[in-house]
Amino acid sequence: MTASAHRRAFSWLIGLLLFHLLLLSVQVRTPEGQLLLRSVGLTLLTPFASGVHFISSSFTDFLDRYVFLQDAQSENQRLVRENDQLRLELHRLQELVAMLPRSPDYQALQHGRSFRTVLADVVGRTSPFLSPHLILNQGTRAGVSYDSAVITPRGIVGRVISVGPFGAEVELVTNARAAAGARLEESRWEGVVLGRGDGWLDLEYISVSQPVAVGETVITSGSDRIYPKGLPIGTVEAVDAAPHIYQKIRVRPAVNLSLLEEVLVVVGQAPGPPRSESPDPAEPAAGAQQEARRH
Amino acid sequence: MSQHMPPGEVLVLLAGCTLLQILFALYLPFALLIDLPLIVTLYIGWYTGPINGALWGSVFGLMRDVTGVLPYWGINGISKTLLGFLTAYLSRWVFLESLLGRILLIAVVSLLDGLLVAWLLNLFGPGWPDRTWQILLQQAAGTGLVGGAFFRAYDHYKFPEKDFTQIR
Repeated sequence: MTASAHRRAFSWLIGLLLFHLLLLSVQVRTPEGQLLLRSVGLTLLTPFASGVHFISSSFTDFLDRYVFLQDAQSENQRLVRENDQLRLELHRLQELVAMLPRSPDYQALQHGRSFRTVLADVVGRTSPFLSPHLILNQGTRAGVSYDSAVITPRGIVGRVISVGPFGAEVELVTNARAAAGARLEESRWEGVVLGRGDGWLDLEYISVSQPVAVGETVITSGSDRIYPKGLPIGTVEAVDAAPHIYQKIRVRPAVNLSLLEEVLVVVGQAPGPPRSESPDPAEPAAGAQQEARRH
Repeated sequence: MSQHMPPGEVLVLLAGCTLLQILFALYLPFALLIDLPLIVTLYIGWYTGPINGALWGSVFGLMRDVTGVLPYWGINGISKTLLGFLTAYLSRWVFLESLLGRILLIAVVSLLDGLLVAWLLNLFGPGWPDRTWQILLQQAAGTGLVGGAFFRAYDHYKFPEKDFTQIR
């Protein structure tokens, strides 16, 4: 290799490195909002990922429905949907029952909990090298916005941290820097759950004087103004009371976040005036505050 | 572009890698630990020279950034540009035909790539990834094994006249 060939090769190397540094320099994240470049990226990536997802899922659906288990597949899907609806209804009713002794005016509280959701498919995931994020195939055109809560009938999943017209990126609640306002369902003590980065959660700021039972359900408190109040976060797995001011409480997430195929994104409060009649148990569970503020 | 790797062939490899990355992300997230773009970058750098190594490393790195949904684009771009370039120079000084040697070389380069990516992630804000060393070592092992197999299989495809029975 001649000296001029070496110079040419190094010129290419320096040029390419400068290009990448330039690319990185325009991506500095501001605390107020997301990056335009990421929004464009999501817009470009999501249709491609959705296309691959559609083709591959259509193919596997075809095999499942018509080759392997024609009836069992549809029957199973129906039962899963029904089970999800019943779980959601159960959590709503449990929360209503818990509210009864605390406030005679629970109608107003119930009204404040109405929220609308859109169904979104998970069309991508980040490399395991990073904190896990999900890519959804619904974006601003479906009403999804920055900090929208992402949930399933079994519990919360995370929040939207970047959004484009046709897609959104979700930070999972178990990630190392994620948090949510939380409450113990039985004792009603309020704290904050923090992601540990290893798939588990820590419930913080529960005093050692407050008894906490292993197996108790942890639900959202709504204090973060992201997640609707009363949704399951997880169950208490272990409690270490001494010698701290606050207990060290480990929480197992209610949702298996590695197996998600579809989720619900909270896109706003449900329409309709406040109700003044007696409470109707058939009303949907509710309560999202969509202001972009993280705990 | 060298006669060994015409641009059309590299573009097919790029499309294949992209498709596999998306499928892995959907159905086999743990398989994302195998850094396919790095393996192809190293192969290109090894056989076609420093300019192609850097250029295609840049392209494959950006693809890894986009499909892996990294917080910033350009992080894998930088690391794979550098490693594609360095591998091309390495190929002039190191004669490495044995399968085990290649697996070890790719694993070491993958470890370097992972360290560089983790350092850049820390430098630009998101901080050190969770369980950095554990993931780096898993990634190096997986990428080394699959890379060794890829080099061998692709050598058979590219150079059918070569006597590969001599290579251990």
